[in-house]
Amino acid sequence: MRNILVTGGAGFIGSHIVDALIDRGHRVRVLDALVEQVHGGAGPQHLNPKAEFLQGDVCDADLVDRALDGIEVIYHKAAEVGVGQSMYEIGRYVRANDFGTAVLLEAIVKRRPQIKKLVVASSMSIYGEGAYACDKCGPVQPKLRPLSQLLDRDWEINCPQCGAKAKPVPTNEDKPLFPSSVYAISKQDQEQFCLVVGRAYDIPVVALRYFNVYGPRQALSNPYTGVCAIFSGRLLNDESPMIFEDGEQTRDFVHVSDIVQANMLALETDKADYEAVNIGTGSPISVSDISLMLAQGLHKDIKPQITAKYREGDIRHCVADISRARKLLGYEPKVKLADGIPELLEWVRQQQAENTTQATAELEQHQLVR
Amino acid sequence: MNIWITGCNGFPGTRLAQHLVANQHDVTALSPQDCAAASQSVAIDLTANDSPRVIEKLAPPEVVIHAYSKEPGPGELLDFVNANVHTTSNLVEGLTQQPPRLIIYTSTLGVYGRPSVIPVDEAAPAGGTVPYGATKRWAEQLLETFQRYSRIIVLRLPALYGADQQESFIDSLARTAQRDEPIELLARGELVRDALHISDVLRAIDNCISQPPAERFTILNLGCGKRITTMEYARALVEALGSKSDIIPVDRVTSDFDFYADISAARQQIAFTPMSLAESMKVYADELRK
Repeated sequence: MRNILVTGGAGFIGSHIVDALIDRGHRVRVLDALVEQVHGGAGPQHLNPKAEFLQGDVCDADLVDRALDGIEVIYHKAAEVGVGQSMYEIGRYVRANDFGTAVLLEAIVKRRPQIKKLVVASSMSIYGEGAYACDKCGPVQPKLRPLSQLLDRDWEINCPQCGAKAKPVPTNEDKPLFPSSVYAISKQDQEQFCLVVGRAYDIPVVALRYFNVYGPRQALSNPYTGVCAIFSGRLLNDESPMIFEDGEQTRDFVHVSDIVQANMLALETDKADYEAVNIGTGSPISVSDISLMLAQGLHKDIKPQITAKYREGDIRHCVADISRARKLLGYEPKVKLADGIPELLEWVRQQQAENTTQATAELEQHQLVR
Repeated sequence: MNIWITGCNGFPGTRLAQHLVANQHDVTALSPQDCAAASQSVAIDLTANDSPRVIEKLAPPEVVIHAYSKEPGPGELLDFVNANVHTTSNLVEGLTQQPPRLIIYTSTLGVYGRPSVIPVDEAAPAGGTVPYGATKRWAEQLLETFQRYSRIIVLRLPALYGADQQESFIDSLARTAQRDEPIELLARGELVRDALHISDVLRAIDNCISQPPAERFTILNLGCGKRITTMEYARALVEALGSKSDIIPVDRVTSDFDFYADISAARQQIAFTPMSLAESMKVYADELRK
């Protein structure tokens, strides 16, 4: 049994991790600010009653120091999450994700003899575009599509060397990072700072790069994050999911229970210490197909609205290469999308979804959708 | 031209404000303390959470020069994040409603860490594991996301020297040389270092303002552009100052490493032409004599 702190432990992913840790007999303390955008002004609805709860901000150094009292392992899950919103509430994202992580790390360093492991939540967003292959040039790592291409509504990626169309391939952890939003930059910063400080002070750190996570407890009240939650929320309000570009962009949707699996493995083995590891499924699915699956599952005859607009900083394709996770963690995704979606929708049906139109309007106001 | 400068009370910021005011620009210092070198100062703490709201209420500038930084060296992790990243995010957020046509960010060659080859060009991996270099790189990335609003030029600077600067290795050499004391050079004086006199940077910034590159986001290395050893710097400085200091190479090793930047992109895109070593040391010596 270990004494474990989970920052952000009342949130979507954090609360599932807390449950799994308590099920395994660990003593868990949760530090969570209960941000209104996520929790809707309510209390910690998913917090395991066996966990000790501290409400507050990871930027509060005194509180963080108290939260670490007696702790051996930290799961750092606290973060502001929302790609689009991060582009105009910049200070908020940098404060929570960069500054908050720095506060936590300094407190950890002061207590380093007692700290045995830090597991930090990273994100596939730090890659920017995923990896690609060109028939002529071989593997290529394109950056974001140029504005002129997007204005022509030419969505697929061109090879940066010869200009021919490139095909998406699984993205491994060695791909250079081209984060394209403030959120993505702040997640990159979190990951790098944790790994650097861990190496410097011999504190084992594992950075788990989550792909598109979905599942029960996803905050439908937060209109800024999670395409599954956003689409489900609109469908529940009898609105068409709004799809940017042509809907053929692909992502890797991973069920929250597989994210929990990876987090438990990161604690149990030392093989992934000081490493960044992709956690996804390795299976691509288009955004249009996700929308249709959700509509069918909710028995709504609502087709998505293909806007042919683009959102600033959006990537075209990114799917995980999970070889490293398999090798180092013994990770194997267990929940197929076809099985995970009904469970998500069962959760969605119980929720009162917020209208996401305002979130899109905010993006348009800031010229982030064109 | 209406120009804002952050970090106006630091060495490069002060010299930049003096230079721009002398060239008839209207220079506003964004600083918690009054900046005597600027045309006027606005009291603002860019690390404060409400600073974007303060910026939004100001008359919009044409150009912003973001020179605020925590200098390299020891310090708490939080201090580097606060000074280099948090200030940048607050500045950018505050400018979203009234973006300037150009933002110039004074970054550092320190983002390259210890490069595998020299001279290092802008395509080399950047970020590194040292908080100073890593946080300066993150600030560059934050600014890159702002290119839809403003043209961004990131200038990666080497060690800067000039009168009133206390921090660089050249200034340290100069103080010893002015006292005519022996100058000991570690690693037998064979270490390759990159450094610029501040006036070269001021000229580069003039060029950025008058003829910025066409791209919306540009990163440019600035530096001496040559392989210059600490022995060569010391000899040129002693000669320029007319010092009687002996230069003594010693075997003692140092954790520093050979480094200089490839500046061909800056030469091409902003017509950057640094002074020769002899010229820059003469300028520096003349400043010190004043």
